[in-house]
Amino acid sequence: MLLGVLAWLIYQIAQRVAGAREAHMAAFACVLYLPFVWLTNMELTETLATVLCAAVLLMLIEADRP
Amino acid sequence: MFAYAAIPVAAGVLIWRHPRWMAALVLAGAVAVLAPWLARNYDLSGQARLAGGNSASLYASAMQYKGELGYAFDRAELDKLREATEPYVKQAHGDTTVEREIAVEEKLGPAARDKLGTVSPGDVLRTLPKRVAYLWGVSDYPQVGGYSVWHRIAQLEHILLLALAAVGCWFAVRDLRRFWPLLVYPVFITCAHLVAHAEARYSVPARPALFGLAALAVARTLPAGRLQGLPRWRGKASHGAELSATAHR
Repeated sequence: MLLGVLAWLIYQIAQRVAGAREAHMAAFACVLYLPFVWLTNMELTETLATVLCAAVLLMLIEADRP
Repeated sequence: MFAYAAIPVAAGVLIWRHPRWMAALVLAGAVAVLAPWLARNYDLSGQARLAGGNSASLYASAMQYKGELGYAFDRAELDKLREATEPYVKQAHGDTTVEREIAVEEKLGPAARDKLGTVSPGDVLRTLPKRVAYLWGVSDYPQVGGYSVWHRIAQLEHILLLALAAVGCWFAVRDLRRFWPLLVYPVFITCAHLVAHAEARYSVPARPALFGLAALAVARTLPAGRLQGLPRWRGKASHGAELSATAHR
């Protein structure tokens, strides 16, 4: 589930910095990116930390928009 | 730990760009999230700590700089670290797990700082490229399958991501005013792990920024006209993309 949330966050980030087409590519690449897939199967804090950092990054981009 | 660093950055941006009450709102949100942890840690340890100490990481970092510990950080490396820190851990006593953890910190902390003090600038310069390369390595788990076909596929994906992110980084630096948020986590994590020990999985939380940088690289190097052969998706370009296209012209 967190990988899905991460893909959505990456879509939102990429859409803001590049565009809709690149955002679709980035989200698709995210769900196929094996290190993310493997880490979701491990009991490590990195999975949640990655989602939270992506959320903070999106917030920063959004806050900095004129 | 990494998320804490973003709080003052976000607050700073909001103070700069928006009414101050928004910055106050962000800080209040951070306090609301962190206060229960502080209270819980104070209740258990009697000390106002946000997080546990990280002396083992500092000790491992010094060992890595001295060449006594590798960067792959597999089972054998972990055993080496356990062996090196065992004398300090054995001296630590406590009735509860928390008391024991604090006692270990009190014994290992000074030892880790002393060990870091023995690292010379030459040690740092000699191992820096390897340290950064391992920090930004693939990070595949489980490591026992390190040389399987899946590992090779992950390596290819990762190399492509890093290459595109490097190109995106170049565009971001040229327009730092707009794209600086994409650089915050990669720069922060790289700097943090010049002090704390480096392992590939620690760079994973910064990788969403790499996807953003890679998207920026694709947008700037393959304009829409060059992507006509690819399927079209529905959805409007964002305000940022419109600005980007305008700037590109």
